[in-house]
Amino acid sequence: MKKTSLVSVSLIVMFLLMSFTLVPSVSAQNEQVTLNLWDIYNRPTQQPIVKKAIKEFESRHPNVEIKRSVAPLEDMKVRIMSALKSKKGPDLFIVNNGENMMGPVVRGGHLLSLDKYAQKYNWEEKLMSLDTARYTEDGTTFGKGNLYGVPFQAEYVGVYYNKSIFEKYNLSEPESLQEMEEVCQNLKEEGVTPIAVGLLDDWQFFHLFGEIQNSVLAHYMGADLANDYLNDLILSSAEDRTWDNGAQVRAAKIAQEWAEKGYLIDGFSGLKGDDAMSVFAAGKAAMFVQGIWYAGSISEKIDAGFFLFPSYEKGEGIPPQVGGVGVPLGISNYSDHPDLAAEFIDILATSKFTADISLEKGALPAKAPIEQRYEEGTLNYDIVQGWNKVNKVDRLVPYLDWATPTMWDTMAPAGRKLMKGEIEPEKFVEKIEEDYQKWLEKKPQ
Amino acid sequence: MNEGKYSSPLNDIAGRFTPYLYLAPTFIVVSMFLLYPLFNTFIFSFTKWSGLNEMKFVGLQNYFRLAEDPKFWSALTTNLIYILLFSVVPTVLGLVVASIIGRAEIKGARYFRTIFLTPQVVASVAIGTIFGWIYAPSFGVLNRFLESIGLSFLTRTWLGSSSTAPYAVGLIGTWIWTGFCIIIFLSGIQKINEDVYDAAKIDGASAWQTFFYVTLPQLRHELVVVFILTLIRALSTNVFGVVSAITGGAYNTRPISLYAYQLSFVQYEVGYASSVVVILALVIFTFSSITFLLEERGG
Amino acid sequence: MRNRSFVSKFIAYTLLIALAVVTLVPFFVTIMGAFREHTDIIIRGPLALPNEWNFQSFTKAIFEYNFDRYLVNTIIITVPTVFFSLVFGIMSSYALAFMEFPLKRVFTLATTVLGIMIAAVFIMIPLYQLMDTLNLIDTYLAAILPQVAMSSAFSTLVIRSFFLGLPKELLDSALVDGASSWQILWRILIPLSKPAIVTAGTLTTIWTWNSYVIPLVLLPNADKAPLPLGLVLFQGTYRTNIPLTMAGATITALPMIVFYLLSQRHIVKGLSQGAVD
Repeated sequence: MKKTSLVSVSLIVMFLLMSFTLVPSVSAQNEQVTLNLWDIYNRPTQQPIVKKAIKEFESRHPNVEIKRSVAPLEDMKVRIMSALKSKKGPDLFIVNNGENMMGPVVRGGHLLSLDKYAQKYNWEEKLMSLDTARYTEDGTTFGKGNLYGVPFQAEYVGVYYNKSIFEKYNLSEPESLQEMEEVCQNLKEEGVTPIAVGLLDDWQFFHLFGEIQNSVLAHYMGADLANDYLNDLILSSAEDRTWDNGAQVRAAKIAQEWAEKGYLIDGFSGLKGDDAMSVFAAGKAAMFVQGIWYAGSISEKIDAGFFLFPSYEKGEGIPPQVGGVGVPLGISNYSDHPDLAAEFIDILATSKFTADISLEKGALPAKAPIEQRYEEGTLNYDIVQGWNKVNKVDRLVPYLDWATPTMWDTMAPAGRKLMKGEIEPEKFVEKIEEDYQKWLEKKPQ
Repeated sequence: MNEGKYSSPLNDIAGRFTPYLYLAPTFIVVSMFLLYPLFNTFIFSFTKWSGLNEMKFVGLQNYFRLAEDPKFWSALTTNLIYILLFSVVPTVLGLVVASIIGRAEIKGARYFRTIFLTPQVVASVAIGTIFGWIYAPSFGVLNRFLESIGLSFLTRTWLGSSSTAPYAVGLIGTWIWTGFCIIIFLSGIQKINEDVYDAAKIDGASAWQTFFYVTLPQLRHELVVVFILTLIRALSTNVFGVVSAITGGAYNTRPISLYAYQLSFVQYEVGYASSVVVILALVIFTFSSITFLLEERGG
Repeated sequence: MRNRSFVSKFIAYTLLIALAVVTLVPFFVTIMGAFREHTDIIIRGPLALPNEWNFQSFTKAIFEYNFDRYLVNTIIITVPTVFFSLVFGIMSSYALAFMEFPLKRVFTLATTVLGIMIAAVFIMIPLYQLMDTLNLIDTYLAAILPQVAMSSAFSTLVIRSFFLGLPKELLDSALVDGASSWQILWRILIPLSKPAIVTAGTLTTIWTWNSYVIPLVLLPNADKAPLPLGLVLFQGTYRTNIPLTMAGATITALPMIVFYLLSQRHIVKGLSQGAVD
């Protein structure tokens, strides 16, 4: 009796030990090569392009298999960081721009510089400016130096508007901030929600505030200097720049006033971003200040137009607009096949089908200008027109939260308080400046 | 084989090492796949490390920083609300409900039990979205319900204010865990011998007395399970997924575990985040040890 | 007397039904969400019934997004996890509940609380290293082993408490008959403890079924991904596809509900054995 029980107990203990020896042998030694790709490209505007690029690549290299795995950005970061610690991981993975991801990854030495491939495939010519995918080799300065990632799509923020609401109340696209406010005021008086926005998702505030800020900055500094100023703050962590100035306070004040005057949807503070979009797409708000990634979902439902966020005063030209390249794809330093990986990037970013499918689905390829192929009067026409206009004057500025690793966590709560009238605009700007100064002190030199 | 206190006829496989043999499988897997990595996290907590570059040992610096970090303390305060709503309230509710229905002959008990379990099977992504709609300002279920019963003055932007959001999020925890508590307590109550209740009846005990002197002591082991598990969910594992799916931590809804997560994977402060995790582990560990001690005393 | 029992029954049912309704509302909205457009939810409210019963989201999730494959993968991960964690949990509970030995308190904590207290995400970096050393990355075992560890600890917590509630005399007569410790466990304790074992088994099944972070990091191969990793495919950056997410959540949840409903036959049986009228 005792013996059998001893045997059963030890059998179970053995299971554990066996788990470690019964490792599947993965050593089929032929020419077969596997490229692992970890990305976040699962929007309906991205999926088909990545799939087609994989197909195209595999038909060029029948011995290579691309194994792709997709997850949302935040989760993908957990996975990537866990793997990189062991100097493992995929050949190709997404590296979001700036201090959000690329900075720390470059400083850890995990990314391959892509400059030689950029030359080989002529990416600089075929694609839009890739500066926001650049870092100096030591990872200290963003926006210049080596190329560490290549995007295949681009995006920017503007104003969606509901055409039937605009027609009904005889409104036209505003050409100045003041006109924008007049439109809001009119709508408000008619009992129509002027602007849909959902502050439970922080980025909806960043984008709205960013647009207002750009408009105000361009008014006070001139559009070109405003552009430089924002690039210095967000990309270069410039020591001689400050967020704390009159223009920033003015911008914060305008945003706060819009909330106070009821230009934003009721209960915006407790609404999710996706729900805010659906409120607009359901025809229950007249405008929606957001990125082009929503174009597909919106045009499915209503007849909407899209215009660039207006300048402060009429005739001041196009103020800087929030936007730029989509999340880029980089090559791991631990990849055994960097040349193949680079060729895949080239197919993904520069193929004709990338542009075709992007435009067909209501997205933008990472190019400027883009040939207009839509009919006038469609949402996509407006988006392409706007894109070309902005790029012609080179007025794209990066997302605010790329500025420092903690900017998201600082600007989000401060912004929510600002919009609820719980803090003064001065205090809001002060908090952002404080975060920035802290970063200047501790950022890698 | 005769070691006084520890000798037992059950020690038949390997003498006084028999208990350890039975414990071995669980102990080995837990040590290897959970405690060993956790020990690494403990080591990380003494470093300055982005998670991507070289580690730099900084001694206790992270812990000093923690003591002065207002974000940590505000997460801790929020967490107290979550302990109340993820753990205490479900435990009490579960106990009350289970003792009311526990001994009644309920038709379709199976179906009720299944219903109470459904919150466990709904993915956090869905939970976040659905409760976003329940608490939404204009089209939200809760506000519409209040309006329909004439309580319009109570409607508000539940998730859009620091005074209500932590409670609104906490109630999601109540929703998830009450059913679980009912199920565990029910299995405990049904184990209690009817004779005990009959004896209480003969002694003329009131319903309350029966509950406090008969049911409750008999359920103390279940109480331990429920309290420890919901406490861990409130502090560490479950709360994290729920909050990030619904508010992302906005309006004072960020619990410690979500703060640690954001420090690690958004702000690249894995070293510092590890010190937060270590403190969290210590808190859970302390509470659980006390619970186990109380259980022993109760016996 | 009759009256009183009628009243208490009435209270019990009212309470149960009210709780059931509150519990079910979010789940109901999830299922209905699979049939409705996001804009429709805004316009007609989350509780409205769908305009049409179109199963497109379900077929799309299953056939276009390979939910059938994810389902199989989930089963491959869940079944061994639950089996081993129950066996391990029963064994360790036995030691903790019925045996005395030095350092018992330490072992009690180590095999219960320590195993379930930390969210997996905080140990992923070292766990990846460990699995990499063991050469297990991208194998099912990588997802199974940590899950077995957590589930064993949870099972130990639940089953131990049930064991502690059993009368110690149970063992005496068997010991007199000369049964070994192993026989007592399997022949006497386990049949009696069915309710606790089923409860532990059900809950570990559910949590393994929904486990996300561990397979996310240790099983990055998309061919081996379980259901929760499929579910996030409907979340594009800044944008979630509502009908597909809700269909995916429903597909993920339903097998668990059916499973629980079925497993309760055993609970009920186990109980009726004890409840001698």
